[in-house]
Amino acid sequence: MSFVALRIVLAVLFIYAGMIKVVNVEAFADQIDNYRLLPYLINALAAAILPWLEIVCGSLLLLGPWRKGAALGLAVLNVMFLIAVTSALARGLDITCGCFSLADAGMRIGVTKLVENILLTAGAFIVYYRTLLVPLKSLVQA
Amino acid sequence: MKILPKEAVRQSLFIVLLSAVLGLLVNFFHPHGVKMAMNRPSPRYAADAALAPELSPVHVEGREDDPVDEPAVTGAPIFISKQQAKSLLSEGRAIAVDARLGADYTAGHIPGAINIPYDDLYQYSERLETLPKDKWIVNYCDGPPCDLGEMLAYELINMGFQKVAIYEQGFDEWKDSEPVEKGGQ
Repeated sequence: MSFVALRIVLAVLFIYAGMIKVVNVEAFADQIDNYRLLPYLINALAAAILPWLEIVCGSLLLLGPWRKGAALGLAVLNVMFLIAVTSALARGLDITCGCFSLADAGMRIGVTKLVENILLTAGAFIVYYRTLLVPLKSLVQA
Repeated sequence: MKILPKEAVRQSLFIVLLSAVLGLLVNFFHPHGVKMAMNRPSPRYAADAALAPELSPVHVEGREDDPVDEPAVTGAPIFISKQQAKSLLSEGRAIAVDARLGADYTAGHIPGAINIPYDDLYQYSERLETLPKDKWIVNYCDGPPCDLGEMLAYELINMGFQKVAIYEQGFDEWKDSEPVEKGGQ
């Protein structure tokens, strides 16, 4: 069942992305700050909280309880990431993404990152749609 | 069919709350936790003594936790503040080098600065060779996240320069309070 596979892949990806950032919150804060979108204090708060949001949402999506809330959370997170990367690209910033790596040599944002973000966002919305709006059960019944 | 069921919204709010508590708590005890500050912390600046005329340069690594009066480590540029850059330049003990592109330099730069765009370094080898070895070279870019000044500084160190400084907060900070020169290249 491809939807279940999509859900698992997305959940594992986000757990992984979150765990990488938890290791060095300071470096992650610098990366968020490089986007020059928000004041530093808000970026610092985001750096502390975002990784856990990714881990918690990913875990719940994987395990089951509160799956609806987790699916909603992931969809919103993905849209936020997509907006951040798009705006950074539009402003011509040459920065690392801060997505799946904290290294300075990590992947720089560019068209590839944008496509990756769009795919992830699409995936998150499919999961949201399937989890909340048209669960397979209802399809079977209909 | 509701696009945003109440149940999902309620759950997600709890998830945000849980993550916030977890995140802030872990960050508080984390060795690499982030400091909740209004401004991005900048690397520690070299002690003024490191820039004193009678001394050979003392090198202090930015962002490291080693004390500033650590013995001299050669082969690394030092980070300096606007105040330090200002006094070095006004005393004629330093040359400012603008590592940004020519267009940025023309639009405005630190008075007296030489433009050596790091991105086109090979085109400016003549200018690199004319830099004095007995003066401090103060490299700068716009300020974070631009690191062209820092890259150029390391290049100069590789070329054998000893008195190499990085004014990391760069032109963005400078232009707010100090005189600016326009044009030239």
